Amino acid sequence: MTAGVWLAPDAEAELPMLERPIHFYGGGTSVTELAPHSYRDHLDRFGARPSCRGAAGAALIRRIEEAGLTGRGGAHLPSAIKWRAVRAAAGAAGSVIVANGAEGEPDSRKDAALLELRPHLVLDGLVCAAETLGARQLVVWLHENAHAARSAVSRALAERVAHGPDEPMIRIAVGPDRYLTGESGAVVQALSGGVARPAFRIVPSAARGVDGLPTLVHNVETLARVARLARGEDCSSALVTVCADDTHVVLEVSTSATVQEVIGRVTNADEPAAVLIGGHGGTWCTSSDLGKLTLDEADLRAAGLSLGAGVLAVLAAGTCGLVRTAELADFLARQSTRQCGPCVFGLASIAESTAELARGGWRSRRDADRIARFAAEIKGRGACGHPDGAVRMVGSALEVFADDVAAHRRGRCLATGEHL
Amino acid sequence: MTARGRLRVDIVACEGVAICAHLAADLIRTDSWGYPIIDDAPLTRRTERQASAAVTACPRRALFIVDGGSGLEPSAPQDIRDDHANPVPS
Ligand code: SF4
Ligand code: SF4
Ligand SMILES: [Zn+2]
Repeated sequence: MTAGVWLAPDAEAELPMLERPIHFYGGGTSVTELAPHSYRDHLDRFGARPSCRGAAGAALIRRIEEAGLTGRGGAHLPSAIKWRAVRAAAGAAGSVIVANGAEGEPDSRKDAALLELRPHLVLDGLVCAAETLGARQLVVWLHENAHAARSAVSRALAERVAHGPDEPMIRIAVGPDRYLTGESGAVVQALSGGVARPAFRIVPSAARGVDGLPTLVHNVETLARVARLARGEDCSSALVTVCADDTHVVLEVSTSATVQEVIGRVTNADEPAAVLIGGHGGTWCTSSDLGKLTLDEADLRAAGLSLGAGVLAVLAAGTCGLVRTAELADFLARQSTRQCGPCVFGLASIAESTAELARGGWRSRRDADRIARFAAEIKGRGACGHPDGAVRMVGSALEVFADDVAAHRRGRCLATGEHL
Repeated sequence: MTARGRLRVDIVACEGVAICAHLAADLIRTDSWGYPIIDDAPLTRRTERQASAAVTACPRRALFIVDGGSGLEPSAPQDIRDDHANPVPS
């Protein structure tokens, strides 16, 4: 992915990381009107990174706790708990900190934008974590074809070596461009010399991860926030990617903004029929479901939602939600790493049944019962959360597009008006 | 009373022939594709015997008992388990 065109300034966040929305058009290369921060720009804008050794590290963990920082994995685990676990488990061999920038969600661009435009913020967060947790290995984990992000990080690392203070060495490691390359277990397995796919584990990687060392894997955005918390700044903003009208727009928004407001800033189209929140394995919602819902994780969680990878994808006007759901289900089934039976066979069955529904092949109540049974059987049974995301997405589609389901069963598509 | 632990399956190692479901019928049923769905409740005196029979018989060594002094239980509390809800960078 490459960074795109800057739009009009946006005054949403007081001290934003990204001062403006960033637009990505299609998949191709586009122009960046604003240069990425050099190390000098970074220092001018954010100031020097404070040391996090000793008592300063303990203070940073407290700030992380107070700020309620959680991972972006959807499990809502307070980061402070993981930090303490890594610190407690780290022996003489130290620990491993990974800045995870392997952005697997097809509609997410926020990590690319952050790495390409504000790489030093991520690197600062990585070093803050390393100092706090006594880490010896610092890694930036990327997709192998994320060339723009990779060169931005390489350039930033070179600048720090030349002009920065003495810091531990940071290396860049890459994995295949697949959906699950950024799954934390896959990262740990790959960095331990294995294949980049999720692993079955009982002991969490915070206790025993890369090469058996306590390991902290944080999304790059989370580390950018750490860098700001270490400086005593507030960071109640989130990076989201709004996917609408064939463009992807990365926005830094206050978490008190509503989902509808955020979408409204990107598209002028009428109220969308449905929005997929959280990425391909997220949850479909209608505008009335969304109401005044904000991007605050607690608010979302109360509504049974999660920002996940921060994707808000609008269903294009005139597109059948069931057809879109079938495409997504097919994608998710194909992205299974084919290690766990319930995921391999279950997702294939669900994708097949969803495709049939999209084609108008569901004729009786039995089809709905069958897919519900598959969903119940699959949930929670993979070595990673991948099948759960697929089940969640399809389940929400059957509710949100209930009228379409009924119409398809009668051989009619409501969105296109076609006979099926 | 001491905790007896729970039966768990390493679903990556499991090949789904479900010998276990025959040996531990009170604990294990099979899904639509023949893979074991294991009762998550703590083992009782009766089910513990079934569980160990299944553990011994599993050709892939995919079954084990956790929290029951097996030496395999998590050394860290449940709340630092890896983020699994979404396959998203955590
Ligand atoms: S649940 Fe699916 S994606 Fe996850 S490790 Fe198992 S086979 Fe791979
Ligand atoms: S016996 Fe072992 S390999 Fe076979 S289904 Fe049971 S757990 Fe899986
Ligand atoms: Zn339709």
